[in-house]
Amino acid sequence: MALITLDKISKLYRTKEIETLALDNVNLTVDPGEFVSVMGPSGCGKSTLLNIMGLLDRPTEGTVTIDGSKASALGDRELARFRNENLGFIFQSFHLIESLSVLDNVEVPLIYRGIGARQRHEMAKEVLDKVGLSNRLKHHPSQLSGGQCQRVAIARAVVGNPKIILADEPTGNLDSKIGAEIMNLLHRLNTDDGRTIVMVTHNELQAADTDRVVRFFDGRRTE
Amino acid sequence: MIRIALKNLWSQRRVYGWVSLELIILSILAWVIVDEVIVRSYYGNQPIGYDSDRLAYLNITTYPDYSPKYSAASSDSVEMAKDFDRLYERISTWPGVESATIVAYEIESRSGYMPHLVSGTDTVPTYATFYLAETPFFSTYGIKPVDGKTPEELENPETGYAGLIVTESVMDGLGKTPQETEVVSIWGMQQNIAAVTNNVRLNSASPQNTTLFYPIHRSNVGLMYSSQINMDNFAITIRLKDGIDPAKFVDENRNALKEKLTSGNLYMSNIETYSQKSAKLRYNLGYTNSNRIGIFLAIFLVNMALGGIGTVWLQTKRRSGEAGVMKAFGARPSHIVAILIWEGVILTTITWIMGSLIFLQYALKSGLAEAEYFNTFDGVRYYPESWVTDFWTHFGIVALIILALMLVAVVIGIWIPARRIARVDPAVTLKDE
Ligand SMILES: Nc1ncnc2c1ncn2[C@@H]1O[C@H](COP(=O)(O)OP(=O)(O)O)[C@@H](O)[C@H]1O
Ligand SMILES: [Mg+2]
Repeated sequence: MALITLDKISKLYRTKEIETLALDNVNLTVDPGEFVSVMGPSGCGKSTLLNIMGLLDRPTEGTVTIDGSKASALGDRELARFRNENLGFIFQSFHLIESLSVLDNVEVPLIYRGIGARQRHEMAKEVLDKVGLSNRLKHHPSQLSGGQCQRVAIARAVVGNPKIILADEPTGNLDSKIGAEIMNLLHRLNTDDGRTIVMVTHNELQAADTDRVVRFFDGRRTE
Repeated sequence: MIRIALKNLWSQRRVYGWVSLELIILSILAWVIVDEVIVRSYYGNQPIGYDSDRLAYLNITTYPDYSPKYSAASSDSVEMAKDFDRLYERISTWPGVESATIVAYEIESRSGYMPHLVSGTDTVPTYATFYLAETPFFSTYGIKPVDGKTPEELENPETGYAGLIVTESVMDGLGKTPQETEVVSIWGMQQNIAAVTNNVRLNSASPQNTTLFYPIHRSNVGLMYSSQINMDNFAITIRLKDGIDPAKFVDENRNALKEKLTSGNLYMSNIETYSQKSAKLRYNLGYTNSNRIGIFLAIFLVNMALGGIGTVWLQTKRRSGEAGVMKAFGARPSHIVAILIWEGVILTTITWIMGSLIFLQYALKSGLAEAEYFNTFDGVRYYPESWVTDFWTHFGIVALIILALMLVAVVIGIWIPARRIARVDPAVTLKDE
């Protein structure tokens, strides 16, 4: 059974001047353990798709089902809990919290799970060790390089042990060498830990390394 | 939650430094105003010691010797006393008047005259009010003896003439209970204290004080001179009948009274109600002006508070990106609101402590801490003990009121925008472009 099912998803953005149909009747399923790449030109709706898949945004039409739960049926509380337990996000511009240290940033998902401080430290240190940042725990995001920030973001995405990782152009702000390191990390998360990954990318080589490539043009799937 | 709030504050200390400065100034300003309001209302709520509701005051004046109406024959004190009697007769029987009394250094305006009562080593300065013993002074004012007698009994020649009548605070200053008997020396004469009444305030702008009610018998007019009380200082105080509005009475009767209340060289120059007289007194003492400054300051305070609300409001709105990240990783909207509110509460508490300490320094250095309501004078406490008159209790309670006011302002300024940003779907604030 599919882990993620998008059924007839449409997203219409309405501003005062203009209406944009960012997604137009999109169907997509992702199986457990799959590593899927999403490709397409800028503005074709990739981020919108990922946000809807990650329950960060609501579709105008259609239904999102993840692990058997229908997203539209979740209230505020359940939605928060669902994101916390099942979803880990990685963004192109990292979106770390500037005011918190590396360690604190990684602990964020655990706080909302009600885990005690000591256990949180342990868990956060462990994943930071895996991404090679155990010597930067007290640093703040502004004191790190882009690649280091993205590794912190990856640590934050996986610390709560979610089934699904959603990555929106995770290497978009990084040079190719650092990008390759990040891709390595993602592949390890997929093969070693069995996490399902959906990643938006512009890089054909990166996409070729994944299980499946989904292509979009102007809000529609073309492949 | 509190730990995160503290970390957020610390890491954004540069921004919050300015917010703090604003809040510290707000708290100091709140101190200046709230403390003043509390002290004023404390003053205002002190019992005046008599029933001022239906009192009115008639100014009695003499024609000067260059006036065409001046009569030399009426100018000696015996004639003048007779003229006073005539005026008194007329006003006592005036429609709407319940009773009248003849008074010199009337309570609301007696600040000038201060005889000292001496007993052994104790000296108590008193503010004296003189009244014509034949007129019902105590029942007109509604001043009561403390031993449970009625005001009328004080006016009974059998008891009322037997000596001085003083307020409780005088006995207090002499170190006696109101029930003890006491012989005191006044103007070099020995007199006994015949009765003790409840305390009255020096005037409507001042605290209770030591008051001497000195009866003057009509047959003893000579005493007025020996005690340097001139007939000129006498006026008539009236109590109106129940149900009569004093302001209306004064307006409607002023002209008729001016016409009818004249005898010999005496005439009624003016009539005013208690509240008119009290308002004039407060104006002369500068209260009216300081009220205006108070209103100005209060507007300024509200303005500062709105500024403070605006500042934290903007600060909170700036946090929408962070709120989006927190939501993406499992924060409920209520978590986000709670963290932002905690930050505000911590910031408010810190700035409140700083502002209060600054004001405390000022209070200790400027003499505010020595204010009359905190102290006794010659052993007499003019302000009854309460939380206002105890320095540290006063400081603590006002501090808490200010904390509450500041928290209300800051929490409003945070809560409204915080609720908004907490409800937004994270995708809206997590834009990569
Ligand atoms: N919040 C928004 N309001 C209005 N239009 C939007 C909004 N977000 C995205 N769009 C529009 O929707 C389309 C798809 O955007 P997006 O999903 O970000 O594209 P991609 O990630 O593929 O570059 C674009 O035309 C974009 O301008
Ligand atoms: Mg995008």
